[in-house]
Amino acid sequence: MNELLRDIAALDRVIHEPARLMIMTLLYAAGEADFVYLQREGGFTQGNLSTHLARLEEAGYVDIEKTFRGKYPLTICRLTGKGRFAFEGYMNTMRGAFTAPGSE
Amino acid sequence: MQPTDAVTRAQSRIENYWHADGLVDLVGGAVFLLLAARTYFTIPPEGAGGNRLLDFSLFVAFLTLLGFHRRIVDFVKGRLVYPRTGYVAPPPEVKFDSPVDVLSVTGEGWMAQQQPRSRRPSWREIAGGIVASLASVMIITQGRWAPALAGGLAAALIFVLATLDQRNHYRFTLLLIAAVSMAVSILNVEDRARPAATFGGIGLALIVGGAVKLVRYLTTHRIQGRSA
Repeated sequence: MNELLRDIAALDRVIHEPARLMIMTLLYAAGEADFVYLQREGGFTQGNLSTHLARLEEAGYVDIEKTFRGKYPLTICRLTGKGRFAFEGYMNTMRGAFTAPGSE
Repeated sequence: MQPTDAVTRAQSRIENYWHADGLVDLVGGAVFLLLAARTYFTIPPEGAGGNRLLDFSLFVAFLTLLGFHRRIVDFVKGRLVYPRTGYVAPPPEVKFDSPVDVLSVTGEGWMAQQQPRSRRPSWREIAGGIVASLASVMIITQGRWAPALAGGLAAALIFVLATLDQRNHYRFTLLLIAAVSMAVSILNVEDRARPAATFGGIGLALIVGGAVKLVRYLTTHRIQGRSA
């Protein structure tokens, strides 16, 4: 097996799932965002988003904090250091595997 | 699309989201109106020493609004925006490394466009801005060469500095107007109503634009009930 294919085989499956990849991308770009924002931006249903966030939290990639702003509840999600590191590793692997020759 | 493209796009959307409801424009407009009031009521000759309390109050209000504008916007967003369309961390704060940054903060409301942060102005844009600066000062000073030249050069300098971090044409225009007004104010052209009217005009434009955006936002988005 060549090296690039081996890298692809070793991709982080927690991140690789499309919905979770969207969540990770949004949180990587935002720093932190709440449940409503993620739901709107990603086009998720409540149940779907909750499930994927729970999976990411379980992997230690996302930190979830329930708080209030005025009288409105906010469920704020942010990437942990581990999550940020894992996402950057994922991006680098994908970039390395699929960059066309001579395009760099 | 590569993942980095998706990240860049998401960041751009977040930046636009911060401005989408018009609250930043409203606060920016208030800053300009305070600046206009201070220019009109307290700058010599008529305003000199006339009312030190007014001068001090306007100055403190101006600095307070400028210094806390993000907190004020965030506070109001917490009541109006986050319950409707969600919370996302605001874009990074502008660093006050130069006076130009102060101007750029008040112009934030005009930056809600799709241009990426790293965009640099073309030489044609810069040259056009300098020529427009000089021409504007000429008009404001009614053809008097000495203040026109000095003010124009000051405005052009501020303008060139400002374009080093520009993001779009709206900021370009706003900075141009502000720079010209500042140059004229510094030069103490006798009629203080001119710079005050310029600042006031910018402030009103921001407030009207911000109010329209806010009303449109509030009527198109309803508060959502949800749980995680």
